[in-house]
Amino acid sequence: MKDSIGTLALGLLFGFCLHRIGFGSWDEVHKMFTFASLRLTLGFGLAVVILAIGFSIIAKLQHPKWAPRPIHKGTLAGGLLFGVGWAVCGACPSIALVQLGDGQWLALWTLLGIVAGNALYAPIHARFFQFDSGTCSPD
Amino acid sequence: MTYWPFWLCALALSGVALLHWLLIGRMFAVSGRFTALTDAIRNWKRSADSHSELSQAEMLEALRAATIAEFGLTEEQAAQMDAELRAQAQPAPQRPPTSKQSLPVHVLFFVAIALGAALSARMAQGHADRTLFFATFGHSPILLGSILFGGGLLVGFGTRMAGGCTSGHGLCGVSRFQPGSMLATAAFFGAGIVTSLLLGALR
Amino acid sequence: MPQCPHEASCRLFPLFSMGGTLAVWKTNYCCSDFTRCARYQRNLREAWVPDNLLPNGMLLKKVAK
Repeated sequence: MKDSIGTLALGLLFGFCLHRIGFGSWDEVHKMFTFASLRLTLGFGLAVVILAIGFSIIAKLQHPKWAPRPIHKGTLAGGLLFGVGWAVCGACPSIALVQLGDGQWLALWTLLGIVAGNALYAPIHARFFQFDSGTCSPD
Repeated sequence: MTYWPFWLCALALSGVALLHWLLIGRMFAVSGRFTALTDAIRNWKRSADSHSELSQAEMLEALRAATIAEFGLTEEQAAQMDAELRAQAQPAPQRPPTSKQSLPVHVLFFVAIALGAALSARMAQGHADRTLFFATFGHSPILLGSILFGGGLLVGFGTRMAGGCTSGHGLCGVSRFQPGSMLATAAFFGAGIVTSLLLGALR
Repeated sequence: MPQCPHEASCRLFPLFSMGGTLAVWKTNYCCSDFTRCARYQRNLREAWVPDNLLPNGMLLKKVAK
């Protein structure tokens, strides 16, 4: 129950912030990738710096067991495919939902594509790749 | 609409990622939730069979029985195991990895994101800009739908193959200096830059 | 001694570390031939790994009292 309320609150906050940040705008994402505006790039970079400090404090205090994220055979190829897709539809996974909330009904196609692409990966991995992704229980 | 300045973006992104760990005890990773969602749908029947909501004590009790059955322990060895488990009864100093969230909770998170964005759009009385988007791809609904579906396929397939997206790899992985995350983030930013420059040149 | 690369994020490994007798799972799977582990094998096929799946392929179930 506590878990559900926390998840609901975080989802609301995340959706609100992403919309204000401008990640839900194809134009803003395009400007970030073409260096026409450094606002998102700087924002993302500074967020990583703040998180590096935050997570190192949490690591010292709580000694959490975080799943490592090693390089495997899918890291580079998967990242490249994702980058192309992100630039084309202007959405990383959560952004399709932000766009829907913003009233961009075309983003239904994006969301459908993301779910289909994710589902499609499992049988293709089982049939052709079968490499070790480094963890049985991703976060 | 007017967007937040870069420093507020940074505070918001890092704040959400930190709160996600502090409140829910899980690393912030959105594409992982999509994987859990599609896996749950694929394993609809079997997931009813999986008691992932077993408490630590119930897991240990079941594990005790399974260990005796699997390795044919003598009574003496079983008694020794019980003594060891009793000695460990105090809570472990290390947080145990939390069990996975169930399908309804993932759906709740997705719906909440859309609602949060809708709330922001309503309060700001503005929508995310798509002038360049239509200038690049035109206005044909069929063409736009297929482009977005195709792009979405790449996003869904690529994030699962790379084992993470902007949140899990980009924010939470890079800031913990995970090699896989740093390579994946460099790859998707690089591919995004090249693709966007090409799209810009075609416009 | 080879060690299962999934140890750090495995839901069951911490349980196998709770005493010398339970470590028999580690000596048989995690720290010897981890490729025999049902969890590891399912993950190679990108199949969903239930939290309560044992290395021998059995599911941990609530013990009836």
